[in-house]
Amino acid sequence: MTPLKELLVKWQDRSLTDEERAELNTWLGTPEGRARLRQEFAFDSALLEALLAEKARQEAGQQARAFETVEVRQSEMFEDRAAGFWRAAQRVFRVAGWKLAWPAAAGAAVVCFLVLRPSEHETLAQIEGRPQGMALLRGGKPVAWTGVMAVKSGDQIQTPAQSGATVAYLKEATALELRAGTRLRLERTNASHRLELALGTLTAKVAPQPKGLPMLILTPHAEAIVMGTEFLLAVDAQRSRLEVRDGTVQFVNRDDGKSALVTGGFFAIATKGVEITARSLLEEPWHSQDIGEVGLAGDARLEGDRCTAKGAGRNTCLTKDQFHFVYKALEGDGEVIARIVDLQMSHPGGKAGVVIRESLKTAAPHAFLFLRPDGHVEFEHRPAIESKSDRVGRDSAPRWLRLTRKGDSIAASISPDGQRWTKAGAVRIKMSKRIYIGLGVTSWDNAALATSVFDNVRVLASTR
Amino acid sequence: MSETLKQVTTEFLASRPQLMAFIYGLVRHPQTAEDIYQEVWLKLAGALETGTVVQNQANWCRAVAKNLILQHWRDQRDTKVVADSTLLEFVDYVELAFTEDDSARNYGSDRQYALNQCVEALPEKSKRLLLLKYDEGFSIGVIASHFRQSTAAVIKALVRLREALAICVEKKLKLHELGL
Repeated sequence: MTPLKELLVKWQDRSLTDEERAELNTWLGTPEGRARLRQEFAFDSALLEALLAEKARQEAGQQARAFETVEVRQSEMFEDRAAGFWRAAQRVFRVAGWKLAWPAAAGAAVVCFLVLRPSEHETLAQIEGRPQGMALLRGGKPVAWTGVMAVKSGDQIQTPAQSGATVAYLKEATALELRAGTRLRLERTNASHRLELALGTLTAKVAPQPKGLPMLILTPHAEAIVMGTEFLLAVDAQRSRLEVRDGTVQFVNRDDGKSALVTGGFFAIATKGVEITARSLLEEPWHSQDIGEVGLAGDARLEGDRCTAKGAGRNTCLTKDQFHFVYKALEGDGEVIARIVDLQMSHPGGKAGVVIRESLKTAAPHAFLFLRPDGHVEFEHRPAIESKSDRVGRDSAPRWLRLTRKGDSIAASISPDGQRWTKAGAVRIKMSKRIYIGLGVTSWDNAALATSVFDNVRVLASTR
Repeated sequence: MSETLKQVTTEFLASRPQLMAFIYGLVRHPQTAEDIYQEVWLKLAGALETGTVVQNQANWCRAVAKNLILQHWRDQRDTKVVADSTLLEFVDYVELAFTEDDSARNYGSDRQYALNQCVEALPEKSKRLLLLKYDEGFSIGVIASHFRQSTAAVIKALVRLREALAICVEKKLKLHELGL
C-alpha cells in the first residue's frame, strides 16, 4: 500500500490516480490517517499565510528601495548638473565677459539638445533583407526603403499576407521572426524594451535582459514579461497564445490580471473569461519525461506528427537507462513509426529513435531502434536485466524507423521512404499487457542536451 | 451591530485557521479558497438575517464550505465530480477529520508568527520553490522543469522544507516559552 505521506503529496499536486485516491480513502478510514491529514492541511494553510506575508514584505521592501533610488539619483543628477553649469558660467563670465557669454550659452544649449534628445529617435534594430510588400510606419507614415532598414523606437512593422520578416536588435543578440500578416510596434522606454503585437505571430529569441528591466510584450489580451528566452507568441482577434521553448516567461491575462509562469515546453492562452494556466506542449495522451538520472532535464514539443525532443544521459544499455522519453501508454499489441529528419548531438555515442518499454523505471525491459550521429542504425534490447545491442545498418537522417510489438515478439524495421520496409531484427521480450511506446533521445553526455527532430510520428494500436 | 452578530463574527474570525485549512486543503488554490471563505461568511450572515438557528457554527460553516467546493468543481466543468464516488468519499473523510478535532492543530497567532519568522529566514531559492507551489499553484512537474530538476528531487526538497519549517516552529515556540 502506498504510504499516506506520498498520497497526500500527490493529492496536493492533483496527480492522484483513481486507484491511489481509493487507497487514500482507505487510509482516511482510520483515525490516525484522518489526524495526519488534519495536521497536513493545517500546516499547508498556515504555510500559505506565511508565504503570502513574506511575499508582501519583500514587495514592500523592493518598492521602498526603488523609491529611494529614484529620489537620490534625481536629486544628485540635478544638483550636479546645476552646480556644473553654474561653475562653467562663472568661469566664462570671468574670462570673456558678457559679450562672449551669450554665444557660449547658446552653443551649450545645442549640445544639450543633441545629447539629451528624446529616446524615441534611437535606432533599435534593423530589418534583415528586403521583404516584398513589407511596411514600416513612423508616426503613422510609411518610411521609404533605404539600403539598410533601421527600426527606431515607436516604429510599427507590418508584414504582408504572403511573407514574414526578421528583425535583429543592434545592441543585443535579440532576434524576432515575424510571420506573414503580423503587426508589431517596437519601443524602448526607461532602458527596457516594449513591444505591441496587435496581430499575427512572433517567434522571439530574447537575449538576457537587465535585472529588473524585462522586455514587455503587449497584446490585446495579454502581457508577456520576458527576461531572456525563446518563445512563440500568436495573436488573433479572440486570444493570444504563448509557447515557450526555452527559459521562462510570465504571461498575464489582461482581462483579469491573473498570470502564469510559462516555462520551456509549456504554453498558455490568454482570452477573456478563461483562467490562464501553463500547459504542456505535449497534448494528451502523449507524455514526456527523463528516464534515469540524467544530468540535464530534457523536453519535447509535438506539433501534429512532428516532434522535437531534447535529452541528456550517459547510457541506454546494459543495466540502466538514461534518456528523454516521449511516449504514450498502449494496451496490447501495436507499433511506433517515426522518421528522423534532424540530429544535433556532439557526442558520437548519442542516440535518437523509437522505443518500447515495459515501464518508466530505469532498468525496465525495453527495445530501442535508433540512429547514431555517425549514421549507424542499431537495435538495442533488454529482455530482462542486461541489454544487448545489434548494429543493423548505416545511413544518415532522414530515416524511417519502426518497432512492432506482437505478443512477446518485438520486430525492428527500417525504411528509406516509409513504404518499403526492411526487417532489422526481432527479439522476444516478455512484457506486461500495458507498455510505453514512443521516441527516445540521449546525448551520451550529462552536461549537454542532444536534439532530434522526428516527423510522421505515429503510434498505432493493433486492431486484432 | 447586534450582540448575536458580533458574537458570530468573532467566532467566525477566530475559526479562520481551521476553516481555511479545510477549504485550502481541498481546493489547493489560494484565491479560490479565499473566495469560498468569504462566500461562507455571506451565507452565515444571510442565515442569521433569516433567523436560522445555527447550533454548531464550525460544523455549519464547514458543511457550507464543502458544498461550495463541490459547486466550484462542477463550475470548473469537472463533471467527474458528480459521479466520482471516491472523490466524494474523500471529501466526506476530510470533513469528518476536521469535525473530530476542531482545534486542527490550531495555528494560533504565536504559532503563525513563528512560522512567518521561519519562512523569512529561508534561502531565496527555497522561498521561490514554496511560492511556486503554494501561491502560484504550479504542479511539481512544472516546478521541476523550471528548476531543471527531476520531479522526485522537487518532491524531496518540498518534504524536507516542510519538515525543517515544522522543526523551526517548535524551536521558536520553545524559546518563546522560556522567555528567550
